[in-house]
Formats: sequence, structure tokens, C-alpha cells
Amino acid sequence: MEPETVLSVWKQAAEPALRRAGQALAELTGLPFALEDQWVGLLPWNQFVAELAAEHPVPLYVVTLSAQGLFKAQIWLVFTETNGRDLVAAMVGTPPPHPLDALGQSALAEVGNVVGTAFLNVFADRFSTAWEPSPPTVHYVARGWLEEQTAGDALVLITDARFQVTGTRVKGELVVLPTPLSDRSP
Amino acid sequence: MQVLVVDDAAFMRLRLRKLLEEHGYQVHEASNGREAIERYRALRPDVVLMDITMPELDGIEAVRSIVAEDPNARIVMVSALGQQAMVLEAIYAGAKDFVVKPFQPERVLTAVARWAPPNPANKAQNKGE
Repeated sequence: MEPETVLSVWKQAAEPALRRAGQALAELTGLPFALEDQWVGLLPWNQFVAELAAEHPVPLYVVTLSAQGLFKAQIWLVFTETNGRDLVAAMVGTPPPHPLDALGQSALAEVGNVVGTAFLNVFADRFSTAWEPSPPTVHYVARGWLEEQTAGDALVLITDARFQVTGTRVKGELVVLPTPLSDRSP
Repeated sequence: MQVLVVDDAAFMRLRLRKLLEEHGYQVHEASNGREAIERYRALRPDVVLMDITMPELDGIEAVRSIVAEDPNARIVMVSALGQQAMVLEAIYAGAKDFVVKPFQPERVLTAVARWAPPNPANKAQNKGE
């Protein structure tokens, strides 16, 4: 299949999938998250990671999961430290300790599980297949972590969406990296 | 009435425990499929709430093992993996129902109550604790 065709098909499916992911984020956290911005396109991987790192001041909470379906994909949910803590506070009901304790990290992991899987569910049903995610992992990352995830200048299909709680500073970013290339950390 | 909550996320186990105890259920926990099989064997709970995506052994495999030992096991899947293919696989494995995360509390309570009606006396006792 030509890259333009793949991109076109992916874009059509990504829009409802991102909407569903946003709904899941709102339902799980009880916060009125709205899809603020989304982008689907082909970009050199190292360029995308560099831009992502430049936009997000460290430390960050990054929830990652991999998924296996029609092909392998990586899903990242990126939160600034403050936003991650705000999110956990809303879910647990009390301000979390700093850094997050096991319960707080578990809450963030569940955000990754529910939001990432909601995205995958739309793709799975659309293409009449199953798309199974791995258990999520929460990373509390300092400067350089994102940049270390680069895998050269390969052109990859990236789905990037930003969600924000209307009228507040609480926001998060969802990045989906479908890649038939090689296994890539994390 | 005893409910075994199986989920690798401590946060989700806590949320379900609180919900169920407020409605009179006695709650036990397991954090993966392998532990769920062992806990089921030891406890024989009235209902199991089972996640799918877990380390060590996933929820579908755990359902198959439990149902092989106890064909009358009442297992309700509680998972974000609400894909048509996965729902069917869970039902074929022996699950009685499927609740998709994020869930409304009432949806979970209805699914559990279908197989294990809550005991009002326990509800009052749990609230008093």
C-alpha cells in the first residue's frame, strides 16, 4: 500500500479514535477534558521527538504501552509533573505525595490503559480485528529521556492529540506511533 | 456475598473495593491472572470481576483456567479492551458479562447483583466500619 493511502486510511480512523480516547479520559478522571488539538502525519522520528521534548518542561510523567494488532504500535501519554499530579488528585480525591506514590502511579497507569485502549478499540472494530495492549508503564522522566527514545530519521506515521480540561491548566498529550519498523523502546 | 476483584492496577482495585463494600459485599483482591486462579481456588467467591490486560497471565486465560475447574464460576470482565473480538473471546472463554472501562458504578453493581444480590445487613455493617 502506498504511504499516501496508508495515511489517508489512518486519518479517517484516527479522528473518531481520538474522540473516543478523549471521552474515556473525561469519564475516568471525572474532569471535563476536551480535544484541544490533533495532528496526524508523517514526520522523521527524531524531529518529532525533539519537538516534543522542546515543548514539555521536565520532569514529566510519561505513560507508555505497546500494542499488537495489524501491526505493532507504541502509545505514549505525556503529562507535565504538575498536570500528572492534578490528574491523580482528581482521581484519588486527595493531593498526592511528591513524587507520586504507588497508588498515584497506579492511577496514572490506569489513565494510560483506559485512554490508550479506547483509541485502539476504535481501530480494532473498524478493521474487524483485535488490538491488544501491554500493561502500561509509568516513567517519571528528567531531561534527555525523550531524546533518548529516538530511532534515527525514519519517517513514521504519528498521531498526536492534546486534551485539556476546559478553563484550567490541566492537560495531557496522547501520541500514537504505529510502526512496522523494529522494536523500539520504551 | 464475596467478590474477587482482579486487576493489576491498585488504583482500580481500590475503586472497585470501595464501591462494592459500600453495597454490602466482602471483597478480595488479586493483581494478575495467576494470582486470581489461586485466590479463586481458595475462596470460591460468588463473583469475580476480571481485568484482561495484566502481567504474568491475562484475564482471558485466567477465565479459561477457572471455568475449567469450576464450570459454574461467575466471572464478569471489567476491562478497557471493549473490542468486539475481545468481548466475544471472553464470553467464549466462559465470562458471564463484560463491563467496559471507564465504567459507570451502577453498571458494575448491576452486573454483580445479577449473580450475587447484595446483603443489606452487610451494607449497613460496612458503612459503620
